Amino acid sequence: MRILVVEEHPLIALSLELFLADAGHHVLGPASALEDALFLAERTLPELALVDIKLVDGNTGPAVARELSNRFGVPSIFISGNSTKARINKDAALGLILKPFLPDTVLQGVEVAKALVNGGRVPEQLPSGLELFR
Amino acid sequence: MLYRVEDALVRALPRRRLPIPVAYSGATLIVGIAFFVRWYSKAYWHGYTVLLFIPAIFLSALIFDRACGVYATALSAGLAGYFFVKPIGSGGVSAYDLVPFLTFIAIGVVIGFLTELLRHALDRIAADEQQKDLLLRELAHRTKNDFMMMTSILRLQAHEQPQATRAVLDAAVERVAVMAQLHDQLLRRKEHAVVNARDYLEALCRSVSTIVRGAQPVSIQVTADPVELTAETAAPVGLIVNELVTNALKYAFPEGRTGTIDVGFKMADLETAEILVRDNGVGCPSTVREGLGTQLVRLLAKQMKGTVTREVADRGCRAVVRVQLRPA
Repeated sequence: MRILVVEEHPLIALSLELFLADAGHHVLGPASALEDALFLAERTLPELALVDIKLVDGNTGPAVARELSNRFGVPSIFISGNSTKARINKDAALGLILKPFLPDTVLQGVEVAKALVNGGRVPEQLPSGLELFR
Repeated sequence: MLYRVEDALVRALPRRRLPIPVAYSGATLIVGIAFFVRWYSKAYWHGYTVLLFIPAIFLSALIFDRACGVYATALSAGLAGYFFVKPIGSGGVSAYDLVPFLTFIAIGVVIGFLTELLRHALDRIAADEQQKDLLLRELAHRTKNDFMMMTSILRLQAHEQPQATRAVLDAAVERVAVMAQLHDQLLRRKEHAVVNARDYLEALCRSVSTIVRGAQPVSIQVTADPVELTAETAAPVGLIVNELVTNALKYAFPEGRTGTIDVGFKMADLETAEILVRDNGVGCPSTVREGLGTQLVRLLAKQMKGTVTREVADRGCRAVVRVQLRPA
């Protein structure tokens, strides 16, 4: 799956990138601000975005998720430790992966997102730290 | 307990200033109720013409503001003067009743002012409490970010290492994650940060399930008393459970066997908690190899003045750790 990673912190972004790539995904980015994220998405259309709430240019994660959805029809999952801010912006994303996350949660979360988008079956027991908004 | 009553009182009061018409109608209603009670139970009150209006003034000032308290005083004085103070129906007050009547008005006004001060104090307490909650959440949020950084660095280090090294680092990451998870669940009780043992252990075991899902068809069931633990006691309890469960996953179900691990946490008495981890796998190893996990459990139990026992259950193995908790 082509996944756009939008994360403020380079180390966290790198570790995300590595284990997503290990699992056979194609990682775009990482982007660390609204502009970068949209630029990258325009160049290569992702199938899913993993979006941190707080980015280099402020709390622009929800705006990134909204733009990706409105302009390109790309669904997002928030990745953040700030569950309050994420839940306020439920409309913008499929769900939330809480930081600190387990790699398994992210990988299983990606599968859940794929199932949601394709109208497939969502597993009964969600991976720990994943919350769905719809 | 007193703390809860205060809390309830603060919560019962309206948060914001109500609009003026609402406030004055409210004060009128309260004084009206006092008036009707006084009117219909006239026979019992004899000379106490204004007594019942005092709580009405207090309530008006408490719920609304001092202006409403003063207004309630004026309204009460008018009603009492007209209907209850002799000569009845004249609206006047005889010289005989003048001093008590004026004293009533003065008391009403003072109640109005003092009550508003009290109200401000209560509001400030409530605001301080909210501030403390906010600080705790902010701190927890930062701590979680720090944990995220630590685990990311460890994982980066694990990447492209031989399998054995990777497994070692993964175990380290998992132990850090157990501590991190605690910060997700911290609640504030007065001056302590606490977690609910049931919520914490359920979340913890869910993470372990997430990690082993696919690799091992083992389900983990948690039965825990919903007691509140301080952050200091919850961290070792979480680590003990993590080690015992990880251990069971490692040894009890070889060659892809399916099974269940039961995790229990209950209070044996007020200060003693019993942590139970039971599997229905191949049974206890005859000799317990003193690995880091076993050593950790022993040390943490010792730190909490506790004991560790491991015995063969009807099927599989059963570990019980009893620890002393200081009450939250």
